[in-house]
Amino acid sequence: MTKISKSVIDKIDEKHIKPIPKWQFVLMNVAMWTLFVATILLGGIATGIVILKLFNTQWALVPRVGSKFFIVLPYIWFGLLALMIFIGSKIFERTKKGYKYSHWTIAGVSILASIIIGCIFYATHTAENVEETMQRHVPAYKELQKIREKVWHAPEEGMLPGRIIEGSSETLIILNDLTGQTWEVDIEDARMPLNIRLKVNMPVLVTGEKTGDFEFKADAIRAHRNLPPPLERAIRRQR
Amino acid sequence: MSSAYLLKEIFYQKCSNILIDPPYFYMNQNTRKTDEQLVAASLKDKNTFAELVQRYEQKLSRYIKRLTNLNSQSVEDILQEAFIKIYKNLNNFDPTLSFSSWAYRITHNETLNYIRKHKNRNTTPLETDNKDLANLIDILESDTNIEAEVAQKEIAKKVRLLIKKLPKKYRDVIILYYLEEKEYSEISDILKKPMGTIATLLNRAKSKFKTLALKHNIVT
Repeated sequence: MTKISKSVIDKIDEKHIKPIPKWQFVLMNVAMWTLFVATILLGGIATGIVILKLFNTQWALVPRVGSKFFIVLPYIWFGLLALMIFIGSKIFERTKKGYKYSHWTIAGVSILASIIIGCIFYATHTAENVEETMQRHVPAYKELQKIREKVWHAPEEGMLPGRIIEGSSETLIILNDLTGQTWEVDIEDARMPLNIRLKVNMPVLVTGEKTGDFEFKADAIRAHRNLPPPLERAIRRQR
Repeated sequence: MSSAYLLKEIFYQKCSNILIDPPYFYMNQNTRKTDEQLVAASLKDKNTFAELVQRYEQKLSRYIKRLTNLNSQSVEDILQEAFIKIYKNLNNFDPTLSFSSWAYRITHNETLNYIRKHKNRNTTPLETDNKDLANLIDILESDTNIEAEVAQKEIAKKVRLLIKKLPKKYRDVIILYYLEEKEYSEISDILKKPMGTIATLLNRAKSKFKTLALKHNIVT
């Protein structure tokens, strides 16, 4: 036995050193993979909500909103997606064979996986359910949504979301806006993209021009699927 | 026991001071086993681990010396800690990797830990022998000419200086590729970096080494 091998065996004896049990390494490995899968799933949810938000955005109205549009973008979810990709990549690098792949490959695969899972979450309404749950149970998120919804409430810029409280004739409706104010809306020349029939209590988004104090002339009325769902929910909450 | 075997044994005993790795024919019952078999046996009997230690102590000790310029006692300390760590983690050894790469990786990390803990010690110079220097000079000879009039000793001195001047990440790959004579895949396993990164690092290291050599008038 050489000097080193003797000193190693002596130290093992002296300090009663034993090999760490295999189950601890297996557990650590399983934990790593579980965390990695969790980051991919969270990234998938974030991607699903980003898709949901982007599909629900009324792109035709963006010019009216102007620079305020940037408030509407789902930064939180973009941020969560980026964070999950970063954390997921770091976790993957620490798995047994993770070091064999470049940072770009790992990040690319994480992004691709998040997009695929995000599409599935979007298609199965999971993303929508998560978003609604967040709005119901996370006060800060709810407040943020209110700020976002108010972007679409801009009578001066020609956008008036609200609920019809009276439709006395084919030319005039009475609308309660997001702030609870009542407006007289002239709808004589208004287009209705989906040939909708206006009804009392229907949430709508009227675009046109403010003609006076709480008076508005509509050039188009959007409802149903032409109305961003979060805005529709906000109008319904006004009841 | 055959006379051929006896002759071989006598040869090994006479030459053991100059041979780094014991030849296969001299190996006893345990050393004839593969590293992987020894790992499995060490888990059942710690004394078998001594065989693994003996098999790698010279290689790893030399590697530590190449990474640092520590005295023999410090190298032994690092080596002992590295082997203890290897023993503790035997159950984590992945048989799809070579034991050698795994042992080098643990030793490399243990050496870095030691350097971090003992920042005041001078650890940057590289210990090199004549064979090492010949390997390093190969880098320069591949596409440049070493000045004929430059004396061999002078080159050796300067090459050591150049290696010291290389950033750590380049020095690591140069040591593993040119001095430890490891394959790209083994370096990848030791340093835990993708093979592509190893190739890039090695190319940059060579280029940097050549630039430094030009700057110091080792090559023209």
